[in-house]
Amino acid sequence: MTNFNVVVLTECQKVIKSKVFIISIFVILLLPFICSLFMLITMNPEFALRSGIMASKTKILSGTDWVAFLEMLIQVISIGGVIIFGFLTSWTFGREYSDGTVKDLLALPVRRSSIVAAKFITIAIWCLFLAFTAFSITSTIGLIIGVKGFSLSVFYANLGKYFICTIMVILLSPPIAFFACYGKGYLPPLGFLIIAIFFGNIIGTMGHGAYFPWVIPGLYSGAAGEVHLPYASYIVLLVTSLVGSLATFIWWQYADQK
Amino acid sequence: MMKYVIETKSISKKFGDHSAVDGVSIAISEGEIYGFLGLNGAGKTTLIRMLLGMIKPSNGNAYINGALVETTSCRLWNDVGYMVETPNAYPELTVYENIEIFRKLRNLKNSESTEQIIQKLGLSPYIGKKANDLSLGNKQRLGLAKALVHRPKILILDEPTNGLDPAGIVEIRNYLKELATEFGVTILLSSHQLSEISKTATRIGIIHHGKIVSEFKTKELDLLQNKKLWIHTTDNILANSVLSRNGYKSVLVDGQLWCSDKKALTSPEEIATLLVNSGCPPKSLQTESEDLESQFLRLIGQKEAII
Repeated sequence: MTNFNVVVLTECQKVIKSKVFIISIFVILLLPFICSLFMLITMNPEFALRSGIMASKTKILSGTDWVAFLEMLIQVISIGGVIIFGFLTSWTFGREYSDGTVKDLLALPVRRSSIVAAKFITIAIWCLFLAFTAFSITSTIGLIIGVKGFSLSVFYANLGKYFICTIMVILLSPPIAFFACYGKGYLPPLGFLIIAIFFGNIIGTMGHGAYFPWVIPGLYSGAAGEVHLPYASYIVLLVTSLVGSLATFIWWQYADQK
Repeated sequence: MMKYVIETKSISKKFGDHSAVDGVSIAISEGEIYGFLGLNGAGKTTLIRMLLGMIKPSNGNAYINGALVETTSCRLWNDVGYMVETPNAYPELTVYENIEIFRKLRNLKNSESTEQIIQKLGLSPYIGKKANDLSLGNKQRLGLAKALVHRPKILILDEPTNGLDPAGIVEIRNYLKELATEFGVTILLSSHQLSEISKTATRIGIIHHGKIVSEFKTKELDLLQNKKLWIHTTDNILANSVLSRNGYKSVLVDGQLWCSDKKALTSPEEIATLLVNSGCPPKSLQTESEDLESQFLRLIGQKEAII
């Protein structure tokens, strides 16, 4: 039997060699760019108005300090991450069908569940790497542009919250993976993701966002103001992740692979 | 009881109301090359997928080395190399990287086997080329390399010579024969061309509408061919009546006379003597064999015997 580490490494190799990996880095760099731009505007509102960056005086960030700066990044990863990480999950599973390579993975001395697990681990590593990149670059830019009020306690508190939000978003990957397998490509899961975000907006507006998985990371990040999430929110998130994972494992193991 | 390397017992697969494979039983012994012949959609790929545990049979079972094939089978595949339908590969990975992925997944410790199979299948000039940039023929070679990298004892190949040029077809054919004869590899391959499969396989099974309609050893192929003895004489009408009177089943159509009796085909000299003695000496006697394409179509009932 093939060592599980080898399966994970082959999955990582497939990702690193792909164009999507490079594209994902460029896309994640938008997060520090957006946060830094907004911080610069908040720090220099008159310059923003004069130069035409802003059409009117608007308060974008809650302040010009590190708390506001990192809160912005946390909110951006919680909302943007749902789309970016969702796409990466769609691609990781869906490409095997679109490229016609899935059949080569089904009759190997490797359990199919190992391949699915390796894919999930690869997605988690990939997303965490991107999240780490975004956080590092944002922090570096924050230091360069002279954001006020830096302290290690603020930094660590926000770092923790940032990675909790990242993990929450990563936990939403399995249902998307299932739709990639069920739909045999990466368009069906993207369709599912768009529907989930659409319903998330409606349900969030109705005030029930704490119980809808694709809204929970955003609420936790504080994007909708200070919200205290009930325990049920965490359970909903975990159950969504578990059901998605289970469905994906069962699909690979038992469904006819035509 | 004889142990077969590849075996199916009354295996069937239904997709809704459509029966893709219907009660197929085949048994392939070690070192045999079994050619699976059928038109597109005849059920070849569905059967191969069932043999590889990718599709669950609706009825019956498949066995590899005597072990039941299931979707959860895993160790079974150590000895099996396969290629199903089009030979796809990871487009952004090079030839070498694509093969390496499967070498690692097959738990082979060093990359020597990758280099050997690249050399054996003539992929050395393309070793650093991305799979996406390969020609169809080289993609086929890459698919075969992935199937062969671990030197399997069993090979299941769906149309392995698709896309190859004539030289490539001969090269792969000879390699498969070498694997079977010198290394005892058991090979199941599918094709829709009798002419191609008859040059490689030692036994042929013809599948049509999901059923095996004929199974024979390749060396028996000649016996299964329809043959005709074309008879051209100075007076074909007289010759036809002479032959009929002497028990031959001759046919005269548009002045052309032919006979397909076994006796006529095996001893045309007797016909020549008979016709000379009857006053209508033959100008020519010519035996014509059915071509392989016609033979295949006749065997699956798609065409009347044209010879």
